[in-house]
Amino acid sequence: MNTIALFGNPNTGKTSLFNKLTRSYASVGNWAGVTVEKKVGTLRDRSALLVDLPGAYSLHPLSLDEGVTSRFLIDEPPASLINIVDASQLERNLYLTVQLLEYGCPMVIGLNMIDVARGRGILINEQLLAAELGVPVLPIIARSGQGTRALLQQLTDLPSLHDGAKASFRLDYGSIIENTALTLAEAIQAALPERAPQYARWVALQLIEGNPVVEQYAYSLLPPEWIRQQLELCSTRLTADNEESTPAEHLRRIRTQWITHLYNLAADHSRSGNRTLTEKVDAVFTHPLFGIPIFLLMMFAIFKLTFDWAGNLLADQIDALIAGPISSGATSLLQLLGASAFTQGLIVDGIIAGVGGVLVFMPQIAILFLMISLVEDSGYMARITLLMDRMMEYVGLNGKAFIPFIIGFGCNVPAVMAARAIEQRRERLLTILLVPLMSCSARLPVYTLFAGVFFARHQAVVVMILYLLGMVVALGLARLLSNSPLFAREKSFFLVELPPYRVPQPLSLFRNTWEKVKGFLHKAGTIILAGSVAIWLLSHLGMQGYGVDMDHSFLAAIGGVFAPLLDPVGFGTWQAVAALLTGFMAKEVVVSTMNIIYHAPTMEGLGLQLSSAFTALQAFSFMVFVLLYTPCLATVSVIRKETQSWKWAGFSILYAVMIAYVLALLIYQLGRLIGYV
Amino acid sequence: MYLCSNMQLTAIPSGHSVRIHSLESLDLLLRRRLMDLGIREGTTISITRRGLWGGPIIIEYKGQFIGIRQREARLLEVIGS
Repeated sequence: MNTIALFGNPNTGKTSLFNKLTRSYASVGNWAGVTVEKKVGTLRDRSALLVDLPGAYSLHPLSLDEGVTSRFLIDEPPASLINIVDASQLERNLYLTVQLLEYGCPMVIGLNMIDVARGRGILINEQLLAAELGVPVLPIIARSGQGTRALLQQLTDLPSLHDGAKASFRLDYGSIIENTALTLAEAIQAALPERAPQYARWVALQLIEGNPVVEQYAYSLLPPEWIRQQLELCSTRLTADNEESTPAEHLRRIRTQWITHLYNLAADHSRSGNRTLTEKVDAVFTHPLFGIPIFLLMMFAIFKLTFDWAGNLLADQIDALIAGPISSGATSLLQLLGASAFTQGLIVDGIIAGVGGVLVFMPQIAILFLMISLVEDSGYMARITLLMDRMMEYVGLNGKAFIPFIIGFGCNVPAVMAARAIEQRRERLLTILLVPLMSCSARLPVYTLFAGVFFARHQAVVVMILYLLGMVVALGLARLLSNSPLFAREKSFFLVELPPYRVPQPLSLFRNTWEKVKGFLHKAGTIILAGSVAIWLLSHLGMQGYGVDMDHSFLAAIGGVFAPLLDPVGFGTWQAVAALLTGFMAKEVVVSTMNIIYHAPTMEGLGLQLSSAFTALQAFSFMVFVLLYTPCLATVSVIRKETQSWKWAGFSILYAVMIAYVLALLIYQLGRLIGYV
Repeated sequence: MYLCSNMQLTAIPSGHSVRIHSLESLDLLLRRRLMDLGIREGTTISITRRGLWGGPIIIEYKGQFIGIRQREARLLEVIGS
């Protein structure tokens, strides 16, 4: 099957188009850096594969996610390209277009956000643009899908268009650069006889531009020494020619001059100049004084909604359903079938209690994800980074690290990956290591359960305190670590684009949330299910075989080994240890384990059991411990993958356990000192 | 050498426009990022908002809004226009 690749600047709607054209779904947002790795999907008519790539301003990468684009062009030459350009920022977008045209693959340009451009009074003459660039240009609105069908049609017609003796795109960079490009291209062509001459020239030009990805590639084809010699020669010749700039700067200047000329021909913004809605909204949201209080207020409103206003009401309905009809239905069905006590216990007290006990919290998780989608889709995300940069700079990070943090409130795994958009290596590593301190939705069931039992009247406040605690610990650690020799200081900078605000589309919000909920359901059907079965078995098996008293089970024995260690922090029972140990698989399993061990038919029943096993202070200490104690299995493995190091993955577990222990100890012991029990 | 026509970006009140004289003093990465966004020598930008307590400032260039730190903004050499 042919491959079609999507290229374009960050936040121009590539992924929106990808979702419209394929059967797959990738998450979208309104900030630069949503997509950090390539995603492959099949077109709806199954005629070709569509590849969605991270956005890049040019093929010369500055951050990890941007490097993906050059590597893709080298390693997996696509049959054709779709270049999405933002009509409201056309001039800037055309820089990448020029580089893609030089690559010389059949291409269609999708002129996206023509509605935004029109709103700002910018009109683009598509015919003229198409004629000058030598490729079809089609207006689209990727978010609504308008024009996407025509774009696809144009793409299928492409090869025939290019069969003719049409001249390939070529800018003249002046004799010095052209000479070097020719020498390099000839050598590359000789090394790669099967690829087109246009490609060899592209590699040569990218080399002159100093693209590190292409450099690595070229070094594998030709002697590095010789390449460096040629580039140096080019540089000296330019200097001798009274040029002040380096070859790379020279290339850029020729391109931008050409683009400016073209842009002035094709665009008309005689009617622009009004203060846009975005500016008016930003006058409030990024206000120097009120910006941060507004952000905190919004966060609090989200917690209120998740717990007090909507989440708990819905969760009670599900609880009633699982504890009532489903549980008793399964019991009578199993009795009818004459199932053994073992089978009945495994299914009703193991699987239904364990998995059902977690599924109860689906409404809260769904609402939380919906809220995060809202922040992602509206464009507020970029503003948060702006508001938080001052604080982040103080702790040795930059405002952009806040994006992974916020995504981490949903799930830590994509959050760790989102750190790829951070330009500085050191800050990226630090962000990856700190993301697990962000309280993810999997920890929500634990808080909801415990806060519901022990702090029923202030549930939203207590949970917000936990979220803030995770944040504070992360920032404190960042400050500590960034000054340690472990993380060599490197030059830091912060630059964020503030995209225009958009009214989130209900359908897209729903889709984004549904994907996350689906992920949660999948987890319930796999890890949580497996965990529940294992816990039930371990809690019913002992040295004497099946059916032992739970206190003599294997689970009690394993938990009992570590229990004394946790005595000083307030929960030195084998039950708590067993829940924490199994929680490493997925934090929800903490709740599954509690459900199975305390053998409670309903949430209310479990609450009663818990309130006799924990005091309020112990419960709070336990929640803090669960918040911090270790990244879950999936997060550890993604940290390993992203840092390419077992050492850092191990570090992420180790420091988390230590901090969790110390903080829980402080809370419990200080709490006892001031009179709580 | 000091040219009296040169000004510091952070000293300019919100809503005013300035022309960029030089990006030379900036860190290479940041300079590249700004150039990616179309900002280079000779372009005219305006200051939209200044941060409080040393927070980032927002600059505007051809309808795009960009936040950068004050420390780095100070390194941009600009001329009033």
